[in-house]
Parts: sequence; structure tokens; C-alpha cells
Amino acid sequence: MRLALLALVALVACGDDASDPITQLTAPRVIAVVTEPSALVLDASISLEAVTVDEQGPRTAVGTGDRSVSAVRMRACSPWRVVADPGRDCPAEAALALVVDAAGRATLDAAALADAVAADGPPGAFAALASTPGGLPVAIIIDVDVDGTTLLVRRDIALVAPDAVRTNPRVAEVRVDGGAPASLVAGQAYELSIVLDGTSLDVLPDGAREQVRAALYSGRGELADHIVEPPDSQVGEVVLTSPTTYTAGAAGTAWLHVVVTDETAGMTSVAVPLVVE
Amino acid sequence: MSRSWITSAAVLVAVGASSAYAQPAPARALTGSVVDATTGLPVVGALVATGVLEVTTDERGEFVLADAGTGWLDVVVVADGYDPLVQRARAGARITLKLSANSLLGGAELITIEETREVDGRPPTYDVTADVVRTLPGSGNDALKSLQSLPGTARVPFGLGGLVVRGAAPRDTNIFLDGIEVPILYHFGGLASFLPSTMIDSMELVSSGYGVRYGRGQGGLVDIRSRGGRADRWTVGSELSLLDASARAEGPALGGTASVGLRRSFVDAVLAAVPTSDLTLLPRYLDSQVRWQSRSGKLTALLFGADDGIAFSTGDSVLDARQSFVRAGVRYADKRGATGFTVVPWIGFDRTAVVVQESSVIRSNATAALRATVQHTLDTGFVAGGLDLQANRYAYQLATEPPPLPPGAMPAPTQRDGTRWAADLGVWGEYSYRFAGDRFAIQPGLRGDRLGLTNEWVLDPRLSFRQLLTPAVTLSQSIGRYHQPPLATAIDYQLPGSPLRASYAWQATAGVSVVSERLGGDINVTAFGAALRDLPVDAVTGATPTAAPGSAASGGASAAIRDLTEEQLGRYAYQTSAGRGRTYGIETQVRRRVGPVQGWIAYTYSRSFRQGDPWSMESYAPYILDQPHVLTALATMPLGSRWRVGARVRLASGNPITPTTGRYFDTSQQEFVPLSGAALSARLPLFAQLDVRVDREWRRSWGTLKLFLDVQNVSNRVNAEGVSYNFDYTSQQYTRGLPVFPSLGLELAL
Repeated sequence: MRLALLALVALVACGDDASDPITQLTAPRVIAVVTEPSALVLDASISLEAVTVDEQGPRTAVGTGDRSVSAVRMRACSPWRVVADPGRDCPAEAALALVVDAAGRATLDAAALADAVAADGPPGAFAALASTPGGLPVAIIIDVDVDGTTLLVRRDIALVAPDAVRTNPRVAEVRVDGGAPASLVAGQAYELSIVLDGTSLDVLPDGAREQVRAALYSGRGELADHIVEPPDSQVGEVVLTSPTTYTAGAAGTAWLHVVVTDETAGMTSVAVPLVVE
Repeated sequence: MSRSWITSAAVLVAVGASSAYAQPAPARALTGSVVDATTGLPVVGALVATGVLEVTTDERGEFVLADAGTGWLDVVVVADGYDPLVQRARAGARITLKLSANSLLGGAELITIEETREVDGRPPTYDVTADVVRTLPGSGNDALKSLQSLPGTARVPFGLGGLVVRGAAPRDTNIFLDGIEVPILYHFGGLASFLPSTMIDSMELVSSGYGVRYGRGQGGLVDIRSRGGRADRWTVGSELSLLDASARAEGPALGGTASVGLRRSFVDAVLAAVPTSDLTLLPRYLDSQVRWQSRSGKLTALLFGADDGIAFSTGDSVLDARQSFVRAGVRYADKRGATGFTVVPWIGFDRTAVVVQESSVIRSNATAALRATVQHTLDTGFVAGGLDLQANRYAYQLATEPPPLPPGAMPAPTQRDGTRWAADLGVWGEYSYRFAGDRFAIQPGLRGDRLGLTNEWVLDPRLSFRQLLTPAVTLSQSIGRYHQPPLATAIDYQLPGSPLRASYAWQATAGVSVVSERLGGDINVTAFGAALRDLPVDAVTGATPTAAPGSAASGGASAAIRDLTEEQLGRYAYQTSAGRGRTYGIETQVRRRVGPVQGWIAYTYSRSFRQGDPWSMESYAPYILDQPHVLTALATMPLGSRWRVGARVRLASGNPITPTTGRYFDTSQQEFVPLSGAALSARLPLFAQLDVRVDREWRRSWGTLKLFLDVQNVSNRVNAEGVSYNFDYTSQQYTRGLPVFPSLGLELAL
């Protein structure tokens, strides 16, 4: 009963702040690690790329100019260990190091991962668990050096059987007040919604379409919500999230970043420049 | 006030009176009885005086003053524990003299000094009477909350209920009311205990090292004894405070005495009357009691229960929780020659239902139990044995997502709803032997339990010694093993091939007690230690129930709340019996009476550690409510005959927390995740609090009215009870504890 009281206190303590501070980009941050394809298929490979942003917009890959990041390192963890603390549960010496190319992309090969972690798990379990409906989750740890600091990031991907159909969610459009973004007025509030390509949402074993959620970030202005989701009832080629509010900040270009994740470990990131007058 | 002074005063009054009313006629006898004005029961040994004559009442409270005089006499009656009575009576009459117990405000004895004591093998306990604890500052007029002021007990966050005794978890300490096990000690939020203070006669806290009569608990023991009703007439009383209202009636019934009590909070009614937009908050609690006792006192029947509920909604968020229990039992105690026996059969029903959005957990438990004790007194001590039986039917419905499985584990079959039967059988025997001129006593005991939930037999040997070095100095030692079955809620989720076992503790104590009139009080010092084994452990993190490294619950208020509610709500995790623990410390209590001021200082140094599965938790970490230093200083004093003031100061080490050493961003969840340092290796700041209390009493012909004001944290000090972080864990702030919290109430007795 005291737990209920605590939950009650916590709920009451949640006020109606104008914006969620996690949405405000005041320093460099890695908000997504996008992959292609969506999942790591047995006997295949997957590419990974970290998306680094700050208040002025996307940061670029290593060595591409003033706004580039300094270095990117990635490693794949053993799927047989729970990773709560990457340094403790997935140290570099016990993980599979990935080679990051000049464009900031790394490639993970399923066979190489299986060899690297074979000693950790039961024989045959690697392929057997990949064939389960949810696949075998694999944690990827990413270190990004930028502006003199190191950002520590985690991305969970799914290792799946070759016959599994996995697709990254696709953002069709970002709507501001119901239409394409136009010039915004500083200090004015706008209704914001994300339009998703319904065909990019995987069909689950029970026949239902997977759920998605969109995380929003901006370097200028204020976002009322961090996460927006489509209503459960939406079915079709176009899926629209519930609307939220964006209040334009000072004049200039304000970048809006949208990261969409789905139930099958897919992820997409888009950056939209908004002109504020 | 000494009896000799009263006697002299009585003589003076009586002599003067008898002179004024002297008649030449022959003297006549004065006869009658002395009874307790509240209960109507006879007062044995009361001194009744008139003129130069005085007698004491017999075992029926009767007295005869032969040749008392003639005409009107002034009679003075004095008895321990009662206010002196002076009453006029006509010689030759038969009168009933009603004594009122010592005034609550002027006569509460925090300290009772008895220099001549018999020694037995029992471990030392802390005994308190209801009249005493109801005057203690900081308890909000709640007798059971005052237990937290005793030595060896840790402070519980936010002033919530719960007893952390000598480093044991709250659920490790068992609570009994007249021999009937009580499932919860406090209503939701710990605002009030399940039993109003007016229903309590006395309480006994055995912090550890108790004998074999009680089992199935590896911590301490609280034994509450209920108060009987009046025997002469029916009376009613009530209490009104800022939180609740209660009423009580007592009087003669069915050849004995009966009492009925009812209490209900009205916080929900107040909040319901406040218009809100989409916020609904309706907390409430209710408890009731019915007690009957035969005239001889041998037979007692008790029915009591509580019902708590809280409903909360904010439009789309709904939380509805309800918890209730009822107990009905009979206690029969008798003595045939040197052999006494007690039988307590009881039945009970508990129900807990928590609904949050579309998830719900509903549990119920029906219990039938019997406790039977036979004790034969010997010249050198006693021999005793007994049964402790309990049958439970657990029913549950779980409409929640199962907890996470350990990596690589196959999903275990989980019954989402059903019933589970479990019967616990306990058999015990003990022998107490005094020797060396009754200055030494040894008490060995053995208890065997068959635990139904885990289907295992366990054996607990226990041994205690006491030595009376001088009439004022007693030494005591105890050692024993204490088994505790897992909670029924822990059985819901188990890994195949890894069933939970009963956990157990080896406890040891050694103490010295000095009681002296010259000291003006007593001094008690006790060292204690315990080793805990087979504690239930979270199978995923390997953490003990008290700390999950890397989680947000690594210390602070949320972890403490989780421990306090474990018995009712469960832990919601796969568990294995791989945990360990150890506790040790020393507690000191100095009680003194200096003039009208009396009180005590209690200091406890206590350490309590836990270790989870050694595979993932290599070393011991502090228990979540480990408080190395706890100091409580308490004093009260009467101001005149109707006022009493008191204060309590508490200093305690901050609870342990797991420091946050860094963070990473989880892109899959789109949130920052904290990185934790060594489990529970940091602490919250020192806790300090000052509580004050003022009582005022009015006595009128129609009854007694008492007003109390108990203010906790009167200085409104900001104490830290937990830590919260910003969204990326780069800054932290403390969760504030209880602000200034007044409890204002009225008690009316007609």
C-alpha cells in the first residue's frame, strides 16, 4: 500500500512543464544509431552509423570539417550477458570490436559475432534463439569523441533468422500545423505531427502491425513532448502520430530531429530544418 | 508521592474530621470495597484510613474498619498507580470507593525502578505501557509508532510505519496481538497503526534472541496486549484528530467485560469536497475491534480488522489499491496447581488488490491457526512446550507482464491465477533452570517447524543465560537459530530446478542491565550480531532484495518503500535462495528521572550488510536501511497537574545510496541510463529532527477531555530521504523528508 502511495506522490509531482528538458539540445549528443538493414541476419552483416547532433544541427563524420566528430568506436557485446553497465558487463576485451570507416560507419558480421561469443553461451543456442519471434538481442556500445568529451551510447539490435522480414520505420513527412514546414514566427506555438510510411511497419506473428514511437529533439525552441506515438487504431499506408506542440525559438534555423523506433528493434532518424523569422 | 506522606496527611485530615464530628455514641464499623473507577475491577492492597485506623483491602478489594467512629467520617484511600481519594462516609455504612488511575498527564511513569528482581532465562526486552507511550513526543499519539524510539530500531523514511530492528528487514519482525499474528502494523502511508492506542494495554519489543515459543521469523518480535473493558458500567469515548476520528465503548456484557472500537480516516472526504479538474485522490483507512473478556480473565475473544484503500486518477492514469484483513480468535488461559496452559485458536482473511491501468494483482489469504502452550512451574524454574500450527490458502490473480528472465533461461511456466495450500507445523519445548541461589538462570529450547510453502523441515535450537550479579546488575546472553519461510508472493516466479528455501539467521546477544534507585534510573547495554543465510535473491541482477546495482532503486526512498511493502505486494522478480547477510552492533539506553523530568537517551551503533548471488555480487553491501548511528533523546515533564510537555531529538546516519558515476544514452529506449558506482557505497546526509508535544487534560463530572498537540520536525528542517536526478544524470537533488507535521487531537472519555 505504501508503494501505491509513493506512486501517487510521484504522479502528483509530475507537473505540466512547458517543455521536456531531454528534448533540448544544449550540447553534442548521439541520439540514434541507424542500421542497414534493420536487423542482423544470420550469415549476413549489418552496417551501423551513429547520429550525432547539437543545437546547430547534425554533426558530420570524422574528418569532414569543423562540425565533424573526433572519433567513433563501436563494439558488440556478448548476447549471453545482461549489459547494465557497459564498462563492467561489456568491456572491450570481452567484446567484438568493430572497424569504423571514414564515413563513421561500422559493419558487424553475424558469423564473426558467433565466433567471438561462442564460448560464452550454450552450443547451438546462437542460431536457435535467432529463430525465435523476437530474435536474439545484441547490445552495441558506441563511444563518440566530440568537442573534447566522449559520449557513451548503446544500441540494441536483433539477430534474426534469414526468413525474418524486418524493416526500418520510414518517416514520410513532418507536418507543422498540418502541412509542410514553412517559415515560423519566433515565440509562436505550432502543432507538430510525424507521418510514417505504414508499409515500413513490420507485421508481427499475431498479424498485427508493430507499434512505433517517435522521439523529438531540437536545438532551438521548445517541444512539449519527448515521445509521440500513433493511436493504436491506425491501420493503413499512412500513420500519423498524435499531435504535439512546438514553440519556435529565436530567429534563425532551428533543427528538428526525429528518431523513430519500432517493436522489432528498427530505427530511423531524420533532421528537419525549420526557418524561424 | 510516597505512601507514608499520604498516610500522615490522611491521619491529620481524619483526626481533624473526627474531632469535629466526635459523638459520645458507640463507634461503628465502616465496610466496603475499593474498585478501579475505569474497569470496575477490585483494587487489591489499597490502604484505607480514617482517624488513626488503617487497613488494606483484601484480594476482593474489600475492607472492614471496625470501630471506625460515629457520624460522618473522612476516608482516605491510597493505592499504587491511582490518584489518592478522600471521601466522606457515614459510620456504619457500606461504601464503594472508586479510584482513578494516575492522571495521564501527571502520573505517566516512563521509568519504573525495581531494584529487587528475580532472574529468569528470558532475553531482555523493552516493555512499554500504553499510558507511557501515548505521552511520548513524536509519535502522533500512536502507541505503536513509539516503538521506533526504542534502542536498536532504525529510522524509517518519511515517518512511515515499519520496524527495522537490529538491522533486520521490516518483514523479518513478527507482530502479535494477544497471540494472534497481525499481517500489517500500519495503515497505508504509515500514518496510523492498525490498532488505536486506546485499545492497547502494553507492548513488548524483543529485538532479537527470543525464545522458541515464537518462530517463522528471523528478526524481532512485537507482542501487543489489548486492554480490557470496564466491569461496572458502560462508558463511551472518542478521539478526533486531523487525520481520523474514532469511537470506543466498553462495559459489562455476557458475564464479563466488552469493548468495541471503530476508527475511520476522513482525508478522502475532505479531498472529495475540494473541486479539482481531472485529479481524483481518495485515500482512506478503517479499523475496528471487538473484545470480550470473562470476569475471571481466563477467556478472551477478539475480533479486529482493517481496510485501507487509495484511489487516484488524472484523467488517463488510474491507480486503485485496496488492502484489508480481519482476524478472529479466542484466548483461554488457566492454571491447575503448578501447571498453566494457554490456547489461542484464530482464523484470518487478508486481501490485497492493486490495479494500475490495465494491470492488476489480486491476492487473498485465508488462515486458520492454533497456538497452544503448557508450562509447569518447578522450584528451580519451569518446563514448557507447545504447538504453533497454521494453515493457509493463498489465492492470486496476476494480470501483469512477467518479470524479466535471467539471460539464457528458458521461460518458466507461470500460473497466472490459482490457489496454493500450505500448512506450517511448529512444535517446541524449553526448560528454564535457576541455580546458585537463584542468581543464575539458563533456558535452553528447541523448536521444529515444517514449512508448507517450501515443503521442508527445519530445526531451531536456542539458548539464553542470565546472571544476577548484584540486586542491581544483571547480565544476559543468548544464541539461537531462526528460520523464516519465503513470502507467498515470492513463489509466483521461480526458475525450474531452483526452488526457494526458507532463509535463516543465527542470532547472538550479550547485555548488561543496571537498575538503581541511586542512579535515578537504569542503564541497558546490549551487543548483538546475526548471520543470515539463504536470503531470496533477484535471479536477474544477482542483487539481494535490498539493492539492485545499476537500477534506479539503488538506495534512497524508493528502495526503502519497496522493502516496507514487500510483504504485501511482493518483489516481482525471479528469485533464488543465494543471498547472505550479517548484522552487528551495540545499543545503549540510559533512562533517568531528575525531579519532574524523566526520559531516556538511546544510542545504537548498528551495521547491516547483504550479499546477493556471489556470481554477480562479489562482496557485501550495506542493507538499504543500514544506519550506523542512531541517537534518540526524549524527555517529558508535567507542568502542574493538568499539563505535560515533552520533546524528542533524533539523529541518525543517512540511508545508503548507490552513487551515480556516469551515464550513457540508450538509443533504443531514447533515454539516458545512469552508471552506478559500488552498490550502496554512499550515504544521504545526517538526519536530524526535533519533535515536541503538549498535553492538557480537563476533568469534569461528566468525564475527561484531553487535548494533545504533537508536532514532528518542529524546526521544519529539510532532511534528505532520497536522491533524484535530472534527465541525463548530470545533476542531483535530494528528496525532502517530512516537513513540520502537526498532529492535533481531542480525546473524550465519558
